[in-house]
Amino acid sequence: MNPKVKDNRPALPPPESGVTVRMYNPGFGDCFLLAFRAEDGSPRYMLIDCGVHHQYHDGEDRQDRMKRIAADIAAATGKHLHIVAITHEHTDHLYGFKYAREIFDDIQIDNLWLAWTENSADPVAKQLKKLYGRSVAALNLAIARINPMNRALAARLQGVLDFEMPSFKGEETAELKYLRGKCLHKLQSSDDYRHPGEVLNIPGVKGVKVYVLGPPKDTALIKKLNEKAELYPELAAMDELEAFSMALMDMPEEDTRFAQSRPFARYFEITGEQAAGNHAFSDFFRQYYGFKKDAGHGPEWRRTDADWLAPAEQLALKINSYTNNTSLVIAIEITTAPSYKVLLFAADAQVGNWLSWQELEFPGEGPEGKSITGAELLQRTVFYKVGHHGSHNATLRSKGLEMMSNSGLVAMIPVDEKWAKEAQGWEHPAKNLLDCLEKKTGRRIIRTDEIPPGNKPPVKPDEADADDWRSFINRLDWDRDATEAGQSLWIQYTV
Amino acid sequence: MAAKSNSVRVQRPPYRRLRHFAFDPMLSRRLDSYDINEVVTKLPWEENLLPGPVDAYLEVVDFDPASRVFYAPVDLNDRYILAQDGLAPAESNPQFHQQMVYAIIRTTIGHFEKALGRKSLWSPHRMVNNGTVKFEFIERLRVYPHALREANAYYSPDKKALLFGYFPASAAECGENMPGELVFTCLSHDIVAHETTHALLDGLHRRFIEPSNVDVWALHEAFADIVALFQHFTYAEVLRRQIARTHGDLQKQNLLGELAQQFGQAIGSYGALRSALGSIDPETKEWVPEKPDPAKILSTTEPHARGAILVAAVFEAFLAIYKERIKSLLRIASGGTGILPEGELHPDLVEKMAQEASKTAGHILNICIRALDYCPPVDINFGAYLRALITADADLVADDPHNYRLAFIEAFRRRGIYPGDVRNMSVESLLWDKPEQFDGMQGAFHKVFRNAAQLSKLVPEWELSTDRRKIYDQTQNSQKTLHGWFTDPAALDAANAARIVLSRDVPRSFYSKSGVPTLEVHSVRPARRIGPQGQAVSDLVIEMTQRRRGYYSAQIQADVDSGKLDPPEPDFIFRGGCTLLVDPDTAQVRYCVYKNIMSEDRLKRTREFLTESDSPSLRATYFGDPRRVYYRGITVTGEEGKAASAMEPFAFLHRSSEGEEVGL
Repeated sequence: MNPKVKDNRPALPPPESGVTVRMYNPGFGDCFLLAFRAEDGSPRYMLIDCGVHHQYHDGEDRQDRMKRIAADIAAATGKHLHIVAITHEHTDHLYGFKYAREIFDDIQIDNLWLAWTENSADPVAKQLKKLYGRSVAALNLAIARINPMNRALAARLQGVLDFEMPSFKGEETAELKYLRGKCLHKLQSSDDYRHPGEVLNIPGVKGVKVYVLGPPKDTALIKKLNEKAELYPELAAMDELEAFSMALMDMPEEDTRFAQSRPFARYFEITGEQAAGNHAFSDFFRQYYGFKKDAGHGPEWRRTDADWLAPAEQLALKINSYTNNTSLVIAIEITTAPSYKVLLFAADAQVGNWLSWQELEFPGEGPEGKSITGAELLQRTVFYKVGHHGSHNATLRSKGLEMMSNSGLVAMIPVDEKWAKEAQGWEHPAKNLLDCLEKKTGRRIIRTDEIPPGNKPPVKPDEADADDWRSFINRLDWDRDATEAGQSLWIQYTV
Repeated sequence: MAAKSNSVRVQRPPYRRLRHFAFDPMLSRRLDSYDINEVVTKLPWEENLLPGPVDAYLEVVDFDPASRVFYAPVDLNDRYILAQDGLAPAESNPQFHQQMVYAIIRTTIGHFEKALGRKSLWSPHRMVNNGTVKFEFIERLRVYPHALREANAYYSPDKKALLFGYFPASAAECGENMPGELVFTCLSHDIVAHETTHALLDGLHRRFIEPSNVDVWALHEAFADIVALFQHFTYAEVLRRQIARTHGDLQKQNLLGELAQQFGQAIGSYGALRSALGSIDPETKEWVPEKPDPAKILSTTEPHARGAILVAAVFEAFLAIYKERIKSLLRIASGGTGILPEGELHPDLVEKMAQEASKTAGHILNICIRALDYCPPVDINFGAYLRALITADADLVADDPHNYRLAFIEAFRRRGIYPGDVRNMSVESLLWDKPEQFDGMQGAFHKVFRNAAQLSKLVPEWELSTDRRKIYDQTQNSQKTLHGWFTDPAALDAANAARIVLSRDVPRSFYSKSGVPTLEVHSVRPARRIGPQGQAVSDLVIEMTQRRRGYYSAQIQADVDSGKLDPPEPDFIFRGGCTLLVDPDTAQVRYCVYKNIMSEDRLKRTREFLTESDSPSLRATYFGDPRRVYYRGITVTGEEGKAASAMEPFAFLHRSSEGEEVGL
């Protein structure tokens, strides 16, 4: 659909009831536009994330693609987004606001939804950011040390780190700053941030409730930061790697942690220069360890200059997992129809986040004023935005997918399997997850790398029931203007 | 003429005494037993012990890269040090660390050598020069007591070195320690013994690192745990204390399990070994042994967890044998009732029991180590190891008065460990087949092994006093000689009997020369064991292997094998071969333990193992599946090959699933 820039009438009409979810195709990244109908018939739009992986490439330049998407968002919403929800600060959820900044400049944004972990005034959030910042700093140092000795590993680590929008001090990214400045209702107090247990409305819309499921907040977390926090196991691990991190950062002697960073008293230490020079034991060190390639020096292949840097891998993964696990997770409940359907947007939440939803209670929200739990919301899920591009550890099995028992379940996966495998060597989506999803959804899986070309609808799989499939297709729509394969901009489904 | 001197010529001492910690000093603070943590170990006197310490087997080089400093090497021949049985145990003195790590490694090597009746060699250094692979003898294992700054320790097959880490206590689960207090893995007897065993096993069976099936890495871990665990139990002083703590409840004998628990805490398995052996009952707060579940092994693939099942089996066998052995003591002490009076045990009884436990532990250790000579050279699995255990023991101890073999079989059976190729779990079925059971096989072998005189030329001089480099050189020669014998066309029957494939009509994935598959005589070594009645069993152990190119795509494999496709660079190496145990006196082949290189089934299973990723861990997703990376390291040359072979399989194993989130 050609964006008619001058005509400000929104090009994406809201459904009569329920919600239309338009999944954009930035290549490898999340960008979801939701359209609701307000009581007076006017549309309300919510954008959940807008990003693309910073290394993504295919035929079309990813920045150009992002600009086209932003232009489509502008046209679709008549340049008015009522809510923008950013789940977490990873490039594939945020870079849209970098690549298509000028287009977003023209779009009015009323509300910004961010998780409580983004509130710099929250003491727990502050502690988390501090630990995170230290780890990122350490990882940067590790990469610098590893690079001369093992370029391939350093590159891989950098790739993982780049997912994060790197900031040495754990400061905010430019994109988030931009959104904070742009939105009409500024985030001033802690109530302006999203906490698990909250129930929200879309302004003007009746029959829709938004439950905030995550990221989990343990109010005793501050005291427990040094112990194994089950909800954030990455934290404990990052703490474990503290000694490793400290070794990377040259600590000044006055720092109280200096003592921790050296295993023995000073008078035991023989520096590298001393060992290679005229020390009493220089001969010994030269003969066995060696400092050069020359004869008389210990063989190079037996030296251990870089081996101790290997935990950098773990550190990188933990940093990444930590950010994923602090994803803002929402469940949207449609209460107009009797069966109270739920749409689950799980961002990239991993195990700890998922587990915390089970017991989460929303008092008074259930039928007859009873309270309902996160577990019940899972059971009524009819639409699931698959976490983390279908990686296996972002979809919990027994306390997650297995609980989604609705027979009409539909899944959306923003992924480019080919690029993930060839450019990165990743298995996204994971095969066994895909198998499970196919069974659970009766093959009603919508993927950005499988948007049907032109006007032909997706082929009905043999096992699927004809009526079920037809009703599924009827609720589906996609960008039919794509001139080349893989260039389709969006695909949408109406719940 | 020498000056007249009245000095008496003093004999060389038989031992050098060195002090060290029995337990990880962190652990010892949690036990109520500070006084027994110091142990004195006696090592055979080495005349040529240099500062480091550096001797014929080891070179301790104390470089701490994270701190960017070296620590001075200790001279154990310093007379003050000699006079005190070594430096006093002190966590704050790096020289003591060097002393301790040296003592424990040498002790572990000692047990190994005694069990096998020959000196141990380290695995040779693999060098690739312009595409050709060469192996270089490695005299000394390198030891870095302070190499890493993490809760880890590992053997590096690439560097032929042991790397030990240190880390602040708050990161481990030691609640009673001062936060930030450093824990040194080089001060943990169990960890040092465990890593040394990896190195020793690698020296004996270089191919037991190749992850061709789900048991391989698990076995490496299990074996290292077994040696460390049972070596620990040979310290009677340590056992004495544990046994004395009982208040009459001998029937249960959970104390040894408790000790094993502590062992599991120190060792790198981070819980896998602990829970495989048993756990603390939350209500009674007592340790209870784990109830074996034969289904567990079917779903356990992670190497530590899987290996822990094997260790638990061996441990159960040990407990059963020990209980059997102390039955008579129990009867005497309880006057026949089996129930002892309340209160402390009589110290003599404690002493006797400790000795029995220690003796039994020593036996188990020997049995497990000797089994290594009865294993196939490649693609080892738990079932084959069990068969090796039983056969090796049956060879040495014909009658089995304490039913050692039954104890092993029972324990393995209860955990679902069955060899795939036997009819039932009786001792007879588990023994390796003898060539006599097959028509004409012995006769075929006779084409190569003719008489004792001919064989004696092959047997390298491998006494416990021989120079190890000399041993290595001699084995290289023997290997060449044997290669000539087996590839001689006149000996084709013998090759066939050994399942060596030398025909031209073979799948094209074979590595061949002039159309004939190449043969590697992997190892030639003597095995000499003395049994409990003083009987001596002697064998010549010969290992031979061949290889084929393996591909992840079944189609490509088929096309290459049929000759339709010229072999591209392989994804993995598929190996087969045999271990022959030959009686040097009669020149008869007593056993031929083989892995068939022509087995398409086994090739398929290997391919499936390497390509079916159950649930790739997050680490594997971003940094590559370590099993496949391992094979890249040996199939690919150049930069990528170097980077791949720099992946440390044991470092990965010891770091792996800790804190891994389990998703789908």
